[in-house]
Amino acid sequence: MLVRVGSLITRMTREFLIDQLFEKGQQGNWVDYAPGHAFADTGLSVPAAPGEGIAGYLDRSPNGNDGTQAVITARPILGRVPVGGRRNLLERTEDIQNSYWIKVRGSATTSSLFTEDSTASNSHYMRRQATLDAPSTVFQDVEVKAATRSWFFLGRNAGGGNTGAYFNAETGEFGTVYGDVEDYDAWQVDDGYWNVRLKYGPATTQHNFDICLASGNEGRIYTGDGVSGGHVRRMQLAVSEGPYQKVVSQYDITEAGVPDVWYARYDGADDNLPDNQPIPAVENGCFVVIGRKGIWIDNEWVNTSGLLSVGPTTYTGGPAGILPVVGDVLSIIWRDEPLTEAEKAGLVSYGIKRGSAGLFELGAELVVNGDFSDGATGWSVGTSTVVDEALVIPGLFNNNVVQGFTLAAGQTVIARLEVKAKTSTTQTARLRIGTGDYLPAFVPNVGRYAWAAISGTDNTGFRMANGSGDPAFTLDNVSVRPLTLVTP
Amino acid sequence: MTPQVHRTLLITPAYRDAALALITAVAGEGQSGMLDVPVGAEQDEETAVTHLMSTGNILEPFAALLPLDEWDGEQYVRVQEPNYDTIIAASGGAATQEGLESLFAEVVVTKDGWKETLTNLRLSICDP
Repeated sequence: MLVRVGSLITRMTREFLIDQLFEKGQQGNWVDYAPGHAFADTGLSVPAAPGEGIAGYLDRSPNGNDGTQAVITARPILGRVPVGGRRNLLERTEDIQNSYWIKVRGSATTSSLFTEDSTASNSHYMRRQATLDAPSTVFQDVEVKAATRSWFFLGRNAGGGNTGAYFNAETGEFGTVYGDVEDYDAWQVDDGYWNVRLKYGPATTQHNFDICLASGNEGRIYTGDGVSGGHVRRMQLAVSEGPYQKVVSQYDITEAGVPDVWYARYDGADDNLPDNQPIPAVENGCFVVIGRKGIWIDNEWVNTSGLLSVGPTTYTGGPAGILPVVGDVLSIIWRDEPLTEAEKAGLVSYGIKRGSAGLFELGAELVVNGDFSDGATGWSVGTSTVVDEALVIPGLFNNNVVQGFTLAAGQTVIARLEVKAKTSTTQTARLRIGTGDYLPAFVPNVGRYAWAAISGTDNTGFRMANGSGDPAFTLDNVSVRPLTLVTP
Repeated sequence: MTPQVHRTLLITPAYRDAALALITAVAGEGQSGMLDVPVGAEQDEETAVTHLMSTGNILEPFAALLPLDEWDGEQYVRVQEPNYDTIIAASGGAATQEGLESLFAEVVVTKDGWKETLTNLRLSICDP
């Protein structure tokens, strides 16, 4: 009964969002990068598979704002990962015939049968090298089944014979265990296979995931007969213990019994979907990006251009760099009116159920006197002057506009400013938060600008400098607010 | 669906039009937006664009026609030559062996991601 109630609530929440966000005829779009909505062709007839470029999507709102991208290299890639994220660091975990697995003095005669060659007095094994971010305890899992060989040696750098364990897949018993194996276990699974798990101490960042055939306990070195072999499948290398995850590629990871999180990965270089899609002008709307790292809600979205693009790092009218902040994109929603608080809560709930880590909330304003209503108080402006509550910059070269404030290194912020007038031509300005790298330079034409930026290594706050030449313009409405992930 | 593979492609600007014509002839219409990301030398604000880039999936049969380069720690080394005969046939004779050799001498095609490729070559995406 409880399950039925929960299921009902889930369904009601979802239907509320889909049906009611646009029920008064609001313009907008609801994109779900998931099966049934993402396609591999611009005709929107062939469903995209994990690892394929997304050529287009069907709008889930009643507005029919379907989006496409004709240029194949400019399509984001469709992917799926289990809720909770990737744990298995390997790929091609059920296809030892793939060249991903290096075969040494042996070959893969089927997707799971490793057969030795006839080399005399040597090891016969398959290997995949993995590099960890830092020395860490690792769990090495593999399922093995006896064929004409029943003994295996499973190890880390087993080709060198350093560390690992012998296992008999006929009897399910371990033989000799070597090196820094801290723990080991084996249990029977389906079809005569044994799941063997070895736990290694944090000795190194380099892990050679090796599976050797053996002629018996401690029989890793022997003369092959060219035909004998054993079955191996479902390899997993992880820094935490857990059930097997099947990894076909970095874009296709699944785990039995765990829901998939489907996403689009924008590469940050040239991916755009949609690409200059004609839409009605939006004077006061909302734009929501549900990403795996968090949900971004822009509830003061303005886009009067009549066109919408998403990518490479932002959306039309959005802060540059916001897509890398939210991570892989699960869903995008925009509408020509802001969200109510109830709608926001519903969207956040929906996003978290889809696999997002939480909501990105904007913190308190860090800039003092960002509207220059108190002259230049709080600012270091060089020869610039405040006129009519805006900063008139005669030229940024050697006249940086600076305000110091405290900000933790690595903190993501949303920085905004407005250019109200301009006297220079193509010269560029650029912005830095903290002492990190400057953000990409921009031509300060009249308009509003926003960036998602990561603070540098200390607290020097906001700094605007020239990018090229000596740009002259009028600056106003400067804002820097920290972005914090909240999990409701 | 036709299998897709990842490639990062770089070309010097003077050869972009020729490359796009070839891509259209071989891969079909709709790809005129390729090779539109300007890149240049790192940390040089005034540097002119030295290359144009595309990165992402392409169709495997198309990738098989292109050259392939691998980073050897110092430079990209060509490990697969382009399939000149097929490309010339697909172009309806518009492309010549000599023209293609000039074009592909100005191209880097790699399985590496764009960030790795640009880091290797000490390039970055250009500011406007």
